Parts: sequence; C-alpha cells; structure tokens
Amino acid sequence: MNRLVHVNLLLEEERRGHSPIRPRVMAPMFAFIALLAAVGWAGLALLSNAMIRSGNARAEEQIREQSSTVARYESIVARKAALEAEAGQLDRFLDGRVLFGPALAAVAESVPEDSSLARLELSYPPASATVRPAPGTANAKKSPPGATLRLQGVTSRPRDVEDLVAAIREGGATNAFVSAAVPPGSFRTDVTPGTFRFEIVAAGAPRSFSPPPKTPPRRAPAAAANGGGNAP
Amino acid sequence: MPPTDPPKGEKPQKAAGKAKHKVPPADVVGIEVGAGFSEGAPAVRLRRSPEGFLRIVAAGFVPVVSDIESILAMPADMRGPWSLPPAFRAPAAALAVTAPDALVRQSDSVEDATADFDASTLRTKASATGKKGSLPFVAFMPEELARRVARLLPEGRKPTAVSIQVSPLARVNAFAASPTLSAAGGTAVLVQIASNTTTIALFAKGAVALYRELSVGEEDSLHAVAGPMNVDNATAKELLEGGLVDPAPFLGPLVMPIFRQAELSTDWVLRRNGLVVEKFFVAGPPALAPHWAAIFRDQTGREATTCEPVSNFPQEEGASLPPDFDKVSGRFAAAIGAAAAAMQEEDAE
Repeated sequence: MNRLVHVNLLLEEERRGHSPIRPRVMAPMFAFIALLAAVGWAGLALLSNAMIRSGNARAEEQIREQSSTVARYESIVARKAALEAEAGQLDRFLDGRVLFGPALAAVAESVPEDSSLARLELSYPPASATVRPAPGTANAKKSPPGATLRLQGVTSRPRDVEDLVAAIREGGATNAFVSAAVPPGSFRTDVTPGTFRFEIVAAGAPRSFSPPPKTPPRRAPAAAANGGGNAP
Repeated sequence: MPPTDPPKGEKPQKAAGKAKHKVPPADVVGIEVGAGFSEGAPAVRLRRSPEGFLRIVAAGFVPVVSDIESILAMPADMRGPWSLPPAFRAPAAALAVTAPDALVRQSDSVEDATADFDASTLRTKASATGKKGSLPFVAFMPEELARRVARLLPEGRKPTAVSIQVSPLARVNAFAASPTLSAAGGTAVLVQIASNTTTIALFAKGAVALYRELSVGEEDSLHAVAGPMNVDNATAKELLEGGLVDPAPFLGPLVMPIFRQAELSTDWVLRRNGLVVEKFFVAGPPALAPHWAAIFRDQTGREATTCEPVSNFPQEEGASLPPDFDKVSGRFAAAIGAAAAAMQEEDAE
C-alpha cells in the first residue's frame, strides 16, 4: 500500500475505550474496593487480636484465681491422705492390740478353791525382741513374740494346777494366750505340809499389725466396748 | 511555486505529548464531519485483511447531527450523542472534519502554516519530516471544534474515536490508498476539486511529496460558466453534466494556473528525485472533472484522466453499500481516506 499521511489531531487524553468495562472507571473502583477490603481485613485482624488478648487476660485471671483454689484443694488432698494414713496406722494398731482383761478374768474364775495365786506377772519381751525382721530375710514371716504371763501360787491339790493350765489353754483365755505350761522344776512342796508351790507360764498371742482391708469399715474403738484400759 | 528545502535550525512544532507506539486498528469506520449532505454524514467502514489489503465493508450516510454549527452549539462536556447503525460499529472510528478553518498545509513550522489564523484558538499537529526532505504536513482546526468532535462518539460502545483528521488531507489519503495510484506506479499528480478549494498533491513513489491548496473550487468554476451564460450555478452545473456546452473558454483562465502549478511541481520532483511524472488525475464533481481534464490535455498535450478514488476501491463480499454507490462514491472520499490513514501509524514526531 502507498504511504498515507496520518496527522492525528485527537489528543491522547481524549481517547476512549469501547469496552463496557472502562479501566478509567473500574481501576479506581477496584482500587477503592481493594483498599476497603484491606482496611476491613486489618480491622478484623485488630478486633480478633484484641478479642484474643482479652480472652487470654481473662484466662490468665481465671488461672490466677483457680491456682489458689487448686493449691487449697491439693493441700486438702494431701492432708486427707495424711489423715487416712494416720487412720490406717491407728486401725492397724487397734487390730494389733491383744486385750488381756477378759483373759485375766477368765483365769481368775478358773482358779480352784483349794488354790491361791501369790503372784501374777504379765510382761513383754524387750523392745529389741519385738522388732520385725526385714522383708526377705529368713525370719520375715515369723511373728514377733507376744506377752508372757507368769503365775505363782499355792495349792493343796496338784490336780488343780493341771486344771488351771488346761483352763488357760482351752478356757476363756485362749484369745490372749496360745500356750500354757508348768516349767520343769517349778512345782515343789511348800514349807507347810500338804501344800505345794507351783508356777505356770503362758505365752501370749503375738501382736499382728497386718494392713487393714482396702475399704475398711470405720470401726468404733474396741477399748470402749471392752471397758478396757488394760491394754499395754 | 515549487517548494524549497526547509530552513535550517527551525523545526515544526511537535504534537502535544509524545506519540505512543500503538498497533493500528484493522477495522475502522471513517466518518466525515461537516460534509453538509442532507442524507447524513458519509461513513465508510474499512477492514484490513490478514494479507494487508483494505476492503470496504460498509458505506452509507449515517443519520447523525454532523454540521459544524450544531456541533459547536453542543455543550463542551457532552457525552457521545452519536449512535451509529450496526453495520458501522467498527471498534475504531476516524473522523474527517470539513470546516473552513480545518486545513492542512505543508510548512516547516506551525507558525508559518497558521500565520493567517489566531494560533491560540487552534489545535495543531505536524507530521514528521519526510525521508527525502519534503516539508512536514501541519494540520489544524479550532480547538473548540476538535474538543467537541472528540466527544461525538460515546465511551463504552463501538466505535470510539481513534483519529481526528482534516478532510482535505483525508481526500488525498483516499487517492493514495486507492488502486488508481498503485496502478500508476505510485508517482502521479492529483488535482482534487472541492467546493471552494482545489488541492494539488504530487505523489512520488507512493508517498505525498508535495501538497498545495488553491482557493479556486467548484463554486468558482460554476460561477465562471454561469456568469457569461447568464444562468445560475445550478443550471450551469446541469449544463456541464449534460455536456451540452463547451466550457473551455470560460474555465480556461481559471483552471490553467492550477495546472501550471501542477507542472511546476512535476519539474521540482524531476530535479529533486529524478522522477518523471506523467500521470495526471483530476478528481471532483462529475460536472467539472472531465472538463478540467480536457482543458489540461488541450493546453499541455499531456494525458490527464478523471478518477474517483472510492469507486474502484475493493469491496468485501456482501458489503453494505447504498444502491447508487457508484454515482455518489465521490462523497465518501474524506471518510474512506480518514479510515485508511487511521489504519497505519500516526505520522508525527
């Protein structure tokens, strides 16, 4: 094609687009929408941040408030555990008591009419003998020795001594004593003719501090029921 | 008078703002503003094929307010009062403005080109200097008119204005884009008769090398015939169209200076570029162009032919054209020239 002379008097700023979507109009609108969205997003972010901060502060306050309660609860739980341990120990102590009052009353009632008791001695072995052996040792399962009842008296009938030994072994004192015997050489004649001096030694039941059952029923103190005060 | 080399050290005024490189549109509707036809504004839609050939898609008169007085009476901030028929809704529009002070001149400075106008009221633009040192083209029109013409087409709807040109240059471009100039080898002289002016355009190797505008036109020619015959201009026009009279004795004194100017221009091209111009074309009203060509042939012995640049312009198959397009095709010269020019890059510094 031949060369044409195109001298255009239309200014650049007078050019228009034929598209219904006009960048000249849409660009500022999109920019405004984008700015609005950015501002909205920033506002939401700030609001969300403030809410989170407020929630955190409230949670920290609640934690501070609850921490004293928790500490109090923990101290109560610890005290309860300590009291329960103490109660358990007391229960075991009560379980381990050997009550001699009824046994001694039964012994007194078993003394024949022709006999009389001159001396009654109830003794425990020394403390070192009552220490339980360490677990796993040869004597671990062996119960510690119990108390020893030593009776000295006078009788006119030798048979009465045997009856008294039998009464201690098999009568009402069996809960407190597991065995009774006249030590060899202890039955001898008295200075009064027809009378004899005797001695009976009874071994008391061993004390047992076995642990109480897991849900032990609270038990009233046995001493009150037994009208005791004779326990060691 | 043949043009001379441009003076050293003086450059034409640059266009307002630096022209951006843009891909020229391939589908343009050209519309002539201020043509003054009762049928409407002449409009031609051109489309460039992938091979680069221009073809007419549609041509016709569009019913829009296009007279200069009405356009100047519109508010300056109007928003696209024009709505074109669907056939003319190309993506881009090129507007050719026909107005007494919408002109083009070949000058090395805007000041010289607009010396007889108040330059402060004009919008001007100059083309780049040609490769062969030809003078730049300075187009100008009143700023108020240009501002309103730029707003005639609405935004957001096809077409939108991509170019505002002056009609005299658009008519020359119509000839430059026509097959007539290509058939002449790109070197020819065009004498274009307008209502009050006549333009001489000398083409060398397909480009306009020389442009002159003379203040003798159709009205003067008709008056020159009507006066001695004691008839009015309309009657003289009818007589000339019918070929019933030989107007040579009346038109000769009026026309010969024009052709003498054309001959001088060919001598200038011969000296400057070594090109021999043998083809002379006369375009204009059917009542005058054949008589002007005959006078030129008789007086100079050279060949001069009438031509109508638009009539033999290639058309697309199924193009929407008025029924009497061949008869009125000359009216679309400015529109088709503006559209064709808008399909190439702006010629500006």
